[in-house]
Amino acid sequence: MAATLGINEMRLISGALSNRSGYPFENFVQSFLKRRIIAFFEKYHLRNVDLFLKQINSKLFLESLLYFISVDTTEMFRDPGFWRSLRKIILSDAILKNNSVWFPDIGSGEELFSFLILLDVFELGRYPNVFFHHPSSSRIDEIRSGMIKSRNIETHNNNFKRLEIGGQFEKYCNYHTNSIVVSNTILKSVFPKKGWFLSEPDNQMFGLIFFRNSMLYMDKSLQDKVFQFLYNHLVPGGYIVIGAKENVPVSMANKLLIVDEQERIFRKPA
Amino acid sequence: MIGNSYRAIIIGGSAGSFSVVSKILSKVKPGFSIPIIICLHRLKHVRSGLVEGINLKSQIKVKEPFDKEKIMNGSAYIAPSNYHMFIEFDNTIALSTEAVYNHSRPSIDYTFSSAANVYRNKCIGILLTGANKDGANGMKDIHTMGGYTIIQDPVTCDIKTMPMAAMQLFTPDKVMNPDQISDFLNTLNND
Repeated sequence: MAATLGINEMRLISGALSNRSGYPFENFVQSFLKRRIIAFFEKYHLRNVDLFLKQINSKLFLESLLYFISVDTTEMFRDPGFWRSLRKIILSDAILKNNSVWFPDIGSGEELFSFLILLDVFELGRYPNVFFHHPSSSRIDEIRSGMIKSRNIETHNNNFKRLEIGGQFEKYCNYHTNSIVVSNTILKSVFPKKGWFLSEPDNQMFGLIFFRNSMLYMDKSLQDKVFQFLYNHLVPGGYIVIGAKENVPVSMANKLLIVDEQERIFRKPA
Repeated sequence: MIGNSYRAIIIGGSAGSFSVVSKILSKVKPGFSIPIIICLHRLKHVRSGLVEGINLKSQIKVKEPFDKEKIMNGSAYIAPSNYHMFIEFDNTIALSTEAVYNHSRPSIDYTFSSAANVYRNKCIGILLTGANKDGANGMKDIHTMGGYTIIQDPVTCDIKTMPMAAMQLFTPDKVMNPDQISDFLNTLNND
């Protein structure tokens, strides 16, 4: 039988989670958070909220929760039209050769690996440094090791073919008994950071920020705050990309130039 | 029991449902004002074409919503490919890229269940032809919350698995063919 959680219970949970993790879960879309927490309750056979609130003080429990609660990227090269559009930018704009790239709220590795494979196919000669944030150590280890979901391998491959950029997707895959990992040669300039990106004062600037489908799970006040933060970390002329069905917060809309409206690619004025 | 002041009509379908939805929307009266929220199984890598195809004949404007878009009277919304679509209590649409459910993204169960939770007895659920069981539990949720439920008559379905799965869970208020569904919608007081 599915667990149920009322409004007051969710308030207790999101408050405790925010305090323990530094993530602003109170400003996440509560129906989304509720789905994730209920699924977590069911996976770990948790019977009640009191037990959850007790266990959350355990580092191991919190780690499991933070691993579980973030949403995996659905597939590599999701939205091939987006990647085709990004390809043009990569090939034509030197800004990506001279600046770092950031995935502030990565779910799983698929989006990052897609980008790195794209760079490799074009033989740009020099990889930009790529940074990513995730709250879970074990998820970071998975991403660093290049792990991808084997059950989606056909989807990854088909999306890659739809890019029509040449190259062979299979070339980047190493098959093991129970897993598939991407070739570690493309991971050499990748640097992970653990935690919530907004809580770390950092003056680093980026030429491209990937933020696709992250805002879906944030309320509007958090979207505003996050987007302003990301904007401040873009170099002049730098790019930010969001999901196909996400909007730039109204407060930021007139500060960005539209590069590709359909594929949701925007640029900070130079 | 049919009442007035329904807040939304929720339609779900899979294999064969595109032509049924297209037919229903081509026959509703111009100016039909109750929002229609549609979740169809669709190819996840094809983002365009479906809405454009339905709009060719539809009497009301059909669109793929953006995340957190307000649900407006007189509009129809169709779940974007590769996103789950939920209804929120502030009468907005929430999209999600969470894992597939019932082998589907968008999942009809997700859309129906969230609508049942928000609209309760003020919504009408319509389940059309389809080849899997997605949507059956969501329709049951609408039924349980007091909403009105219509299932496409299995004899008119390209594939009847989906409506049959729902009918095994509960007894719908009506079983109708596509023409009857559009006629029924046109009887609703939606001022």
